[in-house]
Amino acid sequence: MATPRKTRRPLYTLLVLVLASITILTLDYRGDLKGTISGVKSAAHDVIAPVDSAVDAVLRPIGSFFEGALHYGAAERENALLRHENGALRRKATELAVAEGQVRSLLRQDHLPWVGSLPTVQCQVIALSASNFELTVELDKGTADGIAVGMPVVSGSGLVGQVIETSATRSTVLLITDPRSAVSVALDQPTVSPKVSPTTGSHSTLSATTTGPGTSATKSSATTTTSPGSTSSNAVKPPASSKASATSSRASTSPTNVSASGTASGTSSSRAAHLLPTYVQRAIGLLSGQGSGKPLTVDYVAPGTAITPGAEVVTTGLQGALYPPDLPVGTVIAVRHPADALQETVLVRPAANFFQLDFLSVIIWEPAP
Amino acid sequence: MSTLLRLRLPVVIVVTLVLQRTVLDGIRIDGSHPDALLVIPIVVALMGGAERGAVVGFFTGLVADAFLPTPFGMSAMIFTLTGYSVGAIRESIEPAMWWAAPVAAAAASALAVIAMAVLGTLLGQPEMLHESLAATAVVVAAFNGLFAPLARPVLAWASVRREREGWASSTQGTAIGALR
Repeated sequence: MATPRKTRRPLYTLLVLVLASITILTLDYRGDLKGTISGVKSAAHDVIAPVDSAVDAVLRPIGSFFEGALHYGAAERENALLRHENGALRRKATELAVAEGQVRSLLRQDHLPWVGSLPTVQCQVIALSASNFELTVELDKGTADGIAVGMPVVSGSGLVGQVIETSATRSTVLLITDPRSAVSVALDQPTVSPKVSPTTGSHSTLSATTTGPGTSATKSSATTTTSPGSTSSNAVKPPASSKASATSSRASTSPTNVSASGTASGTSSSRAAHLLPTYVQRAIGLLSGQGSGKPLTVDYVAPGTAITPGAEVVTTGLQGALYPPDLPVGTVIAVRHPADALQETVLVRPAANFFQLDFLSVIIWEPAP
Repeated sequence: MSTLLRLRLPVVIVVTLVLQRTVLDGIRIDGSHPDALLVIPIVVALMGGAERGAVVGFFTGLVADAFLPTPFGMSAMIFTLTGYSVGAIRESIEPAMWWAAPVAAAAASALAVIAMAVLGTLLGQPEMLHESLAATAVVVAAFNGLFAPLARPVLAWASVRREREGWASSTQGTAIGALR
């Protein structure tokens, strides 16, 4: 039997390869080869894309089978929950149909031209994270369709993430649940119930009188003329559900908490009550991910800020922000007040369902340089 | 030696990559999925030794890096070290045992996942050392332990040139025998 001859060649080979790896890593880290590496990645994606698509069409049922088998219990619970939510959503659909037209009108008045005017590219998710260390998805469209790095990606429910890599036919999206993700957000806390004071004729007066600690204590009032025949007895909708009102109030915000007021538009329909202005206290924070299946967290919220579960979280769109304003991000599910902490601990349930990402929209909007 | 024979291993790497992206990435257990590309340098090292494992690991890692948002070259380094380490220690295990390949693949995969997280942290990505790292290592190790026996005949076929030229002779031959 032959005896192996010990040589040092494998060790030298290892050293050469490790040095080569370190060199590539260093050049990538310093950005010296950024263009080259991006080009290589882009070309690799474009070359493999047709093969991926063909194989995916054949093998997707197999992957779905395993995925379904592994998550059968969760899928069953989710189905029950969805059926319940579906019933509630159907009830709301009728109200929203009326409300939609009025919201558009309000938005036009508030000069928010980006709403509904930004073009989007509809994409399909064709691959999930290729790594166990990043929460990303891959879309089936790329620079050929106008997608560029930095563009926000949304689902039908809310913000999903941001494009971080592109090729001609593919885009990679970093999800907001990834710990590397950071989103400047506003927490809209409707802490004040507007007082509706019936007045004579067709007028109603609304006033806000309180704000939470640390706010800029803006007292507002608005007097609006209702349409003929309307009444001033519209019930005031619980503020949390009045997205339209919250949106209309965002015209006056600041990096600190703000008490804002919207404008009233009375109608004779009881549904119009949903569009009554809501007095929203706005807190600004930085939202980041905690990993798959975990709630998002918001940092830099000042202690004592009046935020409670149910508050809506949207993008701020402040100058230099990575996302346009008022994209829905999620809902506050818990607020903790650690003793001696310098900030609130706010947990947010994302609006988008990150376990069911299929079709997404890329907003053709790039952050300001 | 024909060109077609030389292309066998690259073809196997590309096919594995496509399977990873189309099927395996969707198999999630506690948020983690298998990493079939990592099996390639491990099994090649078990059959062919440290040097071969390191070389195959380097190029397989570069292919993986082209599709990952992590720093380019990170997978190449980890795969290289994994291939070399497995090849270097394989002589100390009893290759005739049936469990040698899956156990080696599982152990090497778990260590590779942890090493990847540590390297990522050193490169300024501390979030890679997440609290689910242990679960990720277990998931990758379990799947790769299952994949290793399946990958053996494929990679033996892909490495036909080396086998015929005797790279798997002597003690290396016993390793191949064990995997067969």
